[in-house]
Amino acid sequence: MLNVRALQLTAITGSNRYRTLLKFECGLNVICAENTSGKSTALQAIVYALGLEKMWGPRVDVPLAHAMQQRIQPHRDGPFESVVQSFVELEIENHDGNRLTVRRDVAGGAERRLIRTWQTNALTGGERGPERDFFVQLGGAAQREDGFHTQLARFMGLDLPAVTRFNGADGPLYLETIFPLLFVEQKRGWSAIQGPFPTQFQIQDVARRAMEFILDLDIGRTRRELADIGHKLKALRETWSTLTTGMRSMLPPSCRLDLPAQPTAEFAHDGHIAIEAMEAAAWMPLDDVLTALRRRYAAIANEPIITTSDAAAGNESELTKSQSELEAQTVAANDVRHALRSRVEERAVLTSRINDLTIDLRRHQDAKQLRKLGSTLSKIIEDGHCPTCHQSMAAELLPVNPSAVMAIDENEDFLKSQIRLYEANLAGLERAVDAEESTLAALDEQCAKLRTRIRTLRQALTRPGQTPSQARIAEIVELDRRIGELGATQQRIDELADKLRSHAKEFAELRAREKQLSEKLFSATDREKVQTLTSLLRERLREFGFASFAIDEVSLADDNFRPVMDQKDGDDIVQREIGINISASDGARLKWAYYLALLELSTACKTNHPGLVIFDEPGQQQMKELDLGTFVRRAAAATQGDQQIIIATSQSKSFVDSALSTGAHAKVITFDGFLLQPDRQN
Amino acid sequence: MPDELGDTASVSFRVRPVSVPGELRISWRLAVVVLMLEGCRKQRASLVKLHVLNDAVRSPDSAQQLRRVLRDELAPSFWRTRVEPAFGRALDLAVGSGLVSWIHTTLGAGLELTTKGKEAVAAIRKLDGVLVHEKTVLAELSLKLSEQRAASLTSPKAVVRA
Repeated sequence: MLNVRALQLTAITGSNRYRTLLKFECGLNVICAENTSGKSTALQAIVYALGLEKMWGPRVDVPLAHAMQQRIQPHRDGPFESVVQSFVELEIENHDGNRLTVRRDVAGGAERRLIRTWQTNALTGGERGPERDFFVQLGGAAQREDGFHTQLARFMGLDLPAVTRFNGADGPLYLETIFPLLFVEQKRGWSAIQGPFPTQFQIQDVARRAMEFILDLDIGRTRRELADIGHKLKALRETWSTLTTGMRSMLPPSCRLDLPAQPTAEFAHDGHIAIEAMEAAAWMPLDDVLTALRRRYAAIANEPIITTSDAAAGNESELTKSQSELEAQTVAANDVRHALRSRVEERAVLTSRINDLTIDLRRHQDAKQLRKLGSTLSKIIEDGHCPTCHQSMAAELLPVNPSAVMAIDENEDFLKSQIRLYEANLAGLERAVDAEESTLAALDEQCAKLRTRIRTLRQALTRPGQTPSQARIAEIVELDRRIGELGATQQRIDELADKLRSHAKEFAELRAREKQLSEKLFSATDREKVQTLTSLLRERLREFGFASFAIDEVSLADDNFRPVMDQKDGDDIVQREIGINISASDGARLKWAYYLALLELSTACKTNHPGLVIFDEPGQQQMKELDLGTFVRRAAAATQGDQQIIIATSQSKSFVDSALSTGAHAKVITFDGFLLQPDRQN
Repeated sequence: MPDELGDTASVSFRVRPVSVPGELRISWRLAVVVLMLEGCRKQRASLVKLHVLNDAVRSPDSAQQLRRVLRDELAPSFWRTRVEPAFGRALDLAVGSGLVSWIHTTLGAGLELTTKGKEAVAAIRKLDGVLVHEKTVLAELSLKLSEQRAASLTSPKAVVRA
């Protein structure tokens, strides 16, 4: 919670000290004064003192009138005096009744990024006590211990959530993105019903994030949990890929693994790793190959070794068989080699295409950045016309161009989609190349073995008849080696399989939680809050005389809860933007209603609304006095408990008094002439 | 047209915008032109030299090719300068925008960076992460490639000598 208790503006000139102290109460506070007397300066000073001026854009430096910065006069006809030093002091209170006094210098004093604080009611009679300094407008102001916004959020009892930026990184939801829902600035503040929100913080869907936070919706927490799960899933995918690559590298050429590219739920339950070995030019399950090899080994190793002449007939037929097998396998290997070569060529073409597209994309991104230079580079960039002949240069540097040219942003997106497409293509190709490479390696190994066997058989046939069969001995040795090699492979893979299974299990559990969360993003409490907000909004609109269309058609958008219009389209109800289709005065009415409804909602349910709303000049667009009166009355009634509304208006005090005549209470602050007077108090 | 569509049926076509290569974007090209001249001696260069540099900045491969030719690792005949019409248009626009102005050099017409052009270079230098490749390539090659060398690379004799 946040309450403004007192605001003091001080501007010191060579001969005078101009000062004003405004005290505020809980409930409604109305500052009544004529135009250009300093009402807006007072309200903007609250924002400046809290270091929140960047909520109005990155370029806003000091959002205060020249009376606080350059020169000041005591009254409209008075002489101007140069401001030598000026500063703003603000006393705020939180839900626990703790006070905090802050001071920020404007001109001639300390660095503007410094905020001095005292944990006392220094402006309303208390002692200053020990001082603690904080910084604003520097990196870390909302995250570091010495950052003022870290301190302010803590003081207000807010736990700022982490949100995703455009670059995918996480950062805090800055206070500057929340305050546009509490403070309606006089000029741009009335231009949008919600916000306008600052965009320089690069926060994705900033309006939605700010609203979710203010309404304290479960959906915000759910989304953060989802993001957290997303990070964990990514890490698991990476570990999985490292492990499987490691497993593949320890395989002999005659073996291959069939593993999913990503951890799957199926693998978590039935984590069987299929290892295949090449046997007779075909991939067979390793278990079958091992069993066959062991059976053959048992059959021949335990028998006495036969002589060359006894083995001759068998050797001859084996020789013929091996020769034809070698021929077949050489042909098969050549086929694979051929296919592989064309795929490798295709891969080279794709890689070079992706490289070209990446260069092109970079040039577009550069071109986009360079456009920021505007006329520093060339007037063409600013207005799109040739500086000499003034003809349109929309076709960029293309020669005679019959059709329209993509705009840079569109072209950038187009290139990105092209790159994505080609990369997907390349990934598929890589997989095919990997598979073919392992098949080819296995086939080559088989061919080499067959050649060795043929050589052995030939030599065996020419040896003396009574010597032990060389072919048989060679077969026994080879069988022994292969059984050893395949057995060891099997064992090593089995050892790693457990690790993979546990990863897959964790992956499956996270995926299940992810699915469960994404199905129920909105909780029942969330729905109730949004419904209550909608009905509060409609009630207020009715009260304020909104007439642009039927009030029951006003609802809240599904994405960021801004007011929209429900319209029938056939049998469906579609949400349409409220924009130029309403009158300007109804735009202001909608803004009053929306901001008051947000405040009132915090009385009905638990929200993160700090209980403070500030309206600068709500009487926009020659608003009917009757409706403005209703607004003031409603604002007085809307504030419950410690809540506070501050309004600055150029309406007279008598107007405010008559609006409040029904018994609603408000503190009315008035002053004649300028707000800043040589040492005066209100 | 099939009969069942009737007389009232009509087919409409929409012209879709076409993708443009990044080097044909005016803002990119003007920035590269001023960067080229910034690297040259006295911030001026002949058209011949500018065309060679333009060709070198086309891709990392072509930059490497020119680098090797300048180091005499590669015969000059390996270098083929392409005259790109869009580059000529970009130079005209650069002159029109006041970034560069026409001058006379020993190799015929040439260009010189104007004060506005120098300001533009300073602004471009301040933009981080923009034209990273182009900035490094041009800083190196603009100075290494002398006017005479540029002339020899573009004249038919260069091929004959190699």
